[in-house]
Amino acid sequence: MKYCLLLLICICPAILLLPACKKALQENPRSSISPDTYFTNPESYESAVIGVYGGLPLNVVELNEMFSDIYGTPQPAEQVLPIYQNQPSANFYTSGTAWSVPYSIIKNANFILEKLPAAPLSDGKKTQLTAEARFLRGYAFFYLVQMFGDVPMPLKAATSYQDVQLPRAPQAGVYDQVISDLTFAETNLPDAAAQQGRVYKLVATAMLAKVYLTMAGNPLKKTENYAKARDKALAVITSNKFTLKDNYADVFHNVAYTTESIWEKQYIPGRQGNPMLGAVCPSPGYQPILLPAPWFINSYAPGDQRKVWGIKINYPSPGGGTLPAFFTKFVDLAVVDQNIGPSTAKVPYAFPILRLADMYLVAAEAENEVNGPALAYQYVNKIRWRARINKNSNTDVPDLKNLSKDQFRDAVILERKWELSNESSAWFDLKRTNTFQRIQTVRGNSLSVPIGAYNQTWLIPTQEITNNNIQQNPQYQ
Amino acid sequence: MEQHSIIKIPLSAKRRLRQIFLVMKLTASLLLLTLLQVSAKTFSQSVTLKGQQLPVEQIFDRIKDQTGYAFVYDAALVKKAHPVALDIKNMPLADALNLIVKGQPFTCEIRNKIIVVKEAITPKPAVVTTGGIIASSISGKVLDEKGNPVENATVTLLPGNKGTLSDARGAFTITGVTPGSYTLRVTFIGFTTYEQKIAVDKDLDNLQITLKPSSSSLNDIVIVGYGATKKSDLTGAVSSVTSDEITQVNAVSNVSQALQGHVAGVQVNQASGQPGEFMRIKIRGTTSIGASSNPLYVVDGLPLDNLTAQLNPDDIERLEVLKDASATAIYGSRGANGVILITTKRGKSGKARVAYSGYYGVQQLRKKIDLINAREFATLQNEVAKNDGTAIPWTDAQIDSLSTKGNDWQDLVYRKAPVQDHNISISGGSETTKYFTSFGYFNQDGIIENSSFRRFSFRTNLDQTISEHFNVTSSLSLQQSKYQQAQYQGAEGGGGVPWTTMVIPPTQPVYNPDGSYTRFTGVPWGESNPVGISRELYQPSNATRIIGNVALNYKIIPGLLLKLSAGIDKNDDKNDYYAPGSITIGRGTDKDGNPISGVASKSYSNSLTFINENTLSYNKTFGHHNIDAVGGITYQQSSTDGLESGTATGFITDLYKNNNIGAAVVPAQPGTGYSDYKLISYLGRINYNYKGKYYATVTGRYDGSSKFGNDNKFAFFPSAALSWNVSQEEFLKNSPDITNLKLRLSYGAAGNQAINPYQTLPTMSANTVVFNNAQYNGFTPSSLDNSGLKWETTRQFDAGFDLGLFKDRVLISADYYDKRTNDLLLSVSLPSSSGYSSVIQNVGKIQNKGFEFQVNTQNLQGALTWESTLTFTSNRTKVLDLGKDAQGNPITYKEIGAGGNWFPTIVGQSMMQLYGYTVTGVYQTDQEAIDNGEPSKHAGDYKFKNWDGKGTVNDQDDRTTISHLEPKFTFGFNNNFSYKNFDLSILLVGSYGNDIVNEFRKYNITMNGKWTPTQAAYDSRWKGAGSSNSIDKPSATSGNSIRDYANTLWVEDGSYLRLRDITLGYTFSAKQLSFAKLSAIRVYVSAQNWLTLTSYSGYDPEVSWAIPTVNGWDRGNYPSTKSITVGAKVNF
Repeated sequence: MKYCLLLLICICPAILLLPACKKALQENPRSSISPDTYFTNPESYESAVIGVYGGLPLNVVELNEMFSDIYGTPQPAEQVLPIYQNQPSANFYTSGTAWSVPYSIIKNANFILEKLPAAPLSDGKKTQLTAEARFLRGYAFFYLVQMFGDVPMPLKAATSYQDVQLPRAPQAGVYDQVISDLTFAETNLPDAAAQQGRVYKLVATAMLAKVYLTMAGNPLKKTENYAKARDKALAVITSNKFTLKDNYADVFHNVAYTTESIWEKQYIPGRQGNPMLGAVCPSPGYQPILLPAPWFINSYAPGDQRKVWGIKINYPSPGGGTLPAFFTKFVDLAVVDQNIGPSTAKVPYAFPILRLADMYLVAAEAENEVNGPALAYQYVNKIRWRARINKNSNTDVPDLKNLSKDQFRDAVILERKWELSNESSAWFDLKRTNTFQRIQTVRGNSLSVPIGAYNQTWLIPTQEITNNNIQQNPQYQ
Repeated sequence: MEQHSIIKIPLSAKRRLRQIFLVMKLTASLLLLTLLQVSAKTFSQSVTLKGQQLPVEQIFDRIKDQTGYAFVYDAALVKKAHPVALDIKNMPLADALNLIVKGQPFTCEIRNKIIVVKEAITPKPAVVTTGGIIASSISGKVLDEKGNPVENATVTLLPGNKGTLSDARGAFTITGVTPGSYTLRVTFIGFTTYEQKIAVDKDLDNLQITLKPSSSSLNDIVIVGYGATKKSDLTGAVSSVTSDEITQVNAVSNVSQALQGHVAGVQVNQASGQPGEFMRIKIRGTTSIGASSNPLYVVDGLPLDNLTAQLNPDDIERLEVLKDASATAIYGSRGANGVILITTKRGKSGKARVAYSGYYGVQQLRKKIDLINAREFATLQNEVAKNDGTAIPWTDAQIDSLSTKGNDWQDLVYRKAPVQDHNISISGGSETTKYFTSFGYFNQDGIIENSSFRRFSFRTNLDQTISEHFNVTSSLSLQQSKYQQAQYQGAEGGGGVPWTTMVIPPTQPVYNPDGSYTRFTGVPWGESNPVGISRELYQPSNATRIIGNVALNYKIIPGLLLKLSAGIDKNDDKNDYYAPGSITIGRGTDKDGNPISGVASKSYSNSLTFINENTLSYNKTFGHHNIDAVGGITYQQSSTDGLESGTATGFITDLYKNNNIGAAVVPAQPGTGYSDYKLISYLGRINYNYKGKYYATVTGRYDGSSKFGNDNKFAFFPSAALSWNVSQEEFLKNSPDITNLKLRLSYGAAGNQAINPYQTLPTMSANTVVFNNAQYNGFTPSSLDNSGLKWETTRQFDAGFDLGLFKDRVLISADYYDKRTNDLLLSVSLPSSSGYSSVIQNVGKIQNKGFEFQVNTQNLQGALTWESTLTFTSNRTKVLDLGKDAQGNPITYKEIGAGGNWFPTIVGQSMMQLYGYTVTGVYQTDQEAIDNGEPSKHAGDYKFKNWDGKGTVNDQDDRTTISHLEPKFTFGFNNNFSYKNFDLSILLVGSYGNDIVNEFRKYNITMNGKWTPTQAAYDSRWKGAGSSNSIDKPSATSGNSIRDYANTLWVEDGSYLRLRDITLGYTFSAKQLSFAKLSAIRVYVSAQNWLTLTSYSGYDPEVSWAIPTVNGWDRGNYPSTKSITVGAKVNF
């Protein structure tokens, strides 16, 4: 009997535990939160919109910069040399990043866009947050459609891992979505952002200027958009919210916005550094990914501050001797002098995503396409004047004049290379103007694969092809 | 818990009876004993038996049933007994035994509630003197190898069979011996039979006989999950390792390291020479890609999530490796990677025994790599400049002025380093209380400055019998360890010490003119030179771990035992980091871009695991049927939380180190974390055997884990095994050659749940966004509901046999297995257009099949003994399935985690193999490159194979699998010799047929004048058409293509044969030590890793980078060492 009792004592807990088990095994994490419990107060909606900014900036220097005519041979680093030699792979992480980061912005934007209609917020706040999220989504699609052509276009947040496949949407449709998102944003964003780094009305206007200019060029060639591009750029210029800095050097090496800044990606001084430093800063024995090509160094007009200040030639190496010529737009020379490796130094210079000079160049290019150079000189010459070391010298970066429409077009494209080097404009300009052959001209037989039609798009990452039922872009061969 | 109250012990086989029927060292045996003691009073001590032809074994069974007394006997001896006719009723046990032994070849002796059945010693006529011949007497002492007296050893003189037993002091005397030549034979269970030829012509006094423990193990108790069993009753694939084997190799901090070469089916790699480093251990291959492949460690019954160097190997009594599903299924969801059961030492009754063991040794770089000297390096730089048309950096005069060697960075960085280990233990106890307590100190310095591992360990194991029903066992251990890791995982630079030491130019000085350390400038992220980094970087981590458990054993009725146990595993970790400004990684910039120095952080984490296990076990014999069952319910909860300071930069003084982080110029940003999980399990096992011939085992565990989705919390892991003890059959019973033959078969399932908690939940994650140059927190959805996630299941088939030949002088155990892991917990990539990149899903299948065997032989017996153990392991891992893609086609190629596109996983091959280009030589002309489809290459550049012969060489068509990282087989060969007081052991380990991906070669065969190449590469550099087809042309672009693309130049044969350890020892006998009142001293000298035969050009063929699924990837690991140690073991 005694034994039976003991047996019961032993077995009972087992029986009692059974129903309790499942409950006991429920997870109640304390360090993470579920979407269901996240939206507890009005601020949480704004935080979810702020979260969408997390993926910025979108530029991938190997793809957006290095693969263009203005850069010389990079230091061989994993996957860099094949891209330089026009033999990229769909397996390269560079393609993966260029593809996945914009889509994570789109996912985050879609998620909050679905939640906002029911949010306990004033209509004004709701509209503003919606405009902000739609701007970022449109911007991400703009990046993707330029890089990859036809792309999947999710406009709803995925609800299940089983439901994440989407076909490629024709690029014209993607551009329509971009225009739709950016136009909504332009209409509904506030005139001024609550903080530097967030978008406001004129950021949308400026972005629209770039989108229209792009749509007008290769491959869509919707030339009716040149006028729209010009008008949006002029809207920004004539808003009088921005002014060009007199000295080109003053545009950079700032942590906060200048009078020329439209939209920038900022870093926290002391804590973060702009990764561009590592892409452009040489150190003893090392060449970075983005070095100016010799022809490019020689292409500047005399007295161009963008060369004199912007490219250091024969700069003394802290290890003795000289460093290869390098761009200084994002380099703190003190870091070089003290031989603090780019991996150690944190240089928090802001990265310009949109700045006024770009708007002048957009206006110049678009106006030339619409009406010829006559009225376009004023815009490009503003930029050239600013580049002069001696503002009173007519020989320093002389004003453009007496050019044919074609000559003017070429001049503006070259002007963009001088003005916007390192700012993630180079590859997009080559594509828009369909001038990839420039790379063949400059790099010649150092290319493993010649420039061809396939250069219009980058390869879509393999895992997207495998896991989504879509076709790959043309192979480089 | 399993019990066997009838323990068959062949007296002829040499056993350590002490281990079995005196006080057991083993927990399980201890419980058994307790049970028996307890049973004594509840049973009658009288016997009722009736029958005409009662077999003796049956009589024993029935007496056991009636009295609870256990019999310990040699099956072979009892086989010789004749059946007995009995008709007795309530006869006192002793009287009954006297009846039974009458005329039998054995006697019975009641000791400690156990009846020991021993060979009868034929009485001889009394001593007489005849014909003037004086009879002599022989006396002496029987001792064990440690000099302790052996009681009840049988001492016999042959011929004539005159004999006696040794007494409690080990002493014996045989009188009345007729002069002549005899063989003196001493036998005792658990020991090798001792034989000595003696010539008797007068009295022989003070013979000293030292018995050596037998290596035969059929009757050893083997610990299995939730119980113990005799080796002969085992149905599963279990390997046992003794404490001697665990402590055989010195300068080892980690238990798993000690397993190398000792266990078939287990592959252990000492992946780096960093003291205290984790070990790479695989039991029967890699069963998982996404989840962990580490085995489960169970210490004294307590399952631990991981076990590092924090357990003192000297505290270990024995260790079992559970390999097949029959053995591991009882651990259910954690058993798939195999289970390592560790049993620590426990006290024995008797007076206190104090023991010391310790050693001291010196370690050094095992192998230095032959690199070019300063003059050659300068010459190379000139050649590079000449070939590239740039300015020649060195004049001839400058080169001549260089000291030939320049800085030999290997000599500057690697030093000789001491290692020492000291252990003191005190054990003893009474019949009711037994204790073992120990203190250990281990301190191993690394051959790189400021790398070390130091451990203090303390243990108390206590066994207390409370009453006849109750007994309590407890184990408590506390370890404090300090681990200083060298900066060695910085692959390809980043301050990694071994990597930089290899490639930094010999022409570079250690210091700048201003006294600061020079920086390695060969890569942009090159940091201060390795001398500076290793000297100045401060990054110790301290851990305090308390592992304790208490078990209450309650005997409900005979055969039925309840065990309630509770245990904790508490781990407190502290990690410090301080890099001073004297090295580059200690420098930074403030918010204005001004340089500041000193980078500091500090973090704490602690984890607590509570485990409650309740088991009920039952053991019963019905005639020839023996049932042994256990069932239980267990509960485990674990939580981990952590606090980290974040990194602060800029201090006015290095004095603070990381102790005043608040004073930093750029303050740190702290972080905290927390996670927990729970496991609830029901387990059961039934062992059945019939006549000790036919065995069956059925095991199951029903496991619930909080880590899985709501619909899949629970899973059931069953297994079954059959075995047939063929040698018990009539046709083999009397075979002179085959003393044991057992066939085993098992099939079953075990699981893997080694993923992080919370992975099935949808979550919002915080991210950091910068506005106004300040930090704002945003939130984004980071995962969706994944509640369909379930367990990874490994089903395993095992067929094996155990064979004992020639009186067990040869023991062979061999197994073939086939493991298939389904529902892999694999990170599955998603279309990233969804915004999600990957999710863990149950996708794919892996197969591991293999063959393993172990052969123990006693090659020589007599004055010179030689025993050897060979273990052989051959495993093939093959990925069978990786799921389907969106088009419904099987995925055949997949990049997984850190393996990336260099080490993709390909269906049909072993996982994560190097995938890349084949280098076939060096282009001799530019045209050759154009013709081969590499137009951007020139004469002197590496030639990649154009596999399809078409177009350009590109990654779509011209990459193939170019490595075979899995060895065809690995082996261990251990040899123990003894001669008189000397002993010698030699342990060889090796691996055959595996490649190593030597990523060093990206750099040290490159002739670009920035990195130091090896002498061999330098000597074969290309100097013009026809000059070389192996190494390319010196140029700034030399080696570019072999760095950017995975290729065959990185792949080397990793086969090796290594003399892991050689030890020569000398044991001073008790007699020699009588002056010092010591019972035994053994002193020894040993050498580790002193000889390695391999063609691998890197530091060590056991090398492996930190990614567990890529075994054999050398990116600049901490080089291995060789060492010489001297040590002593003393019993006071």
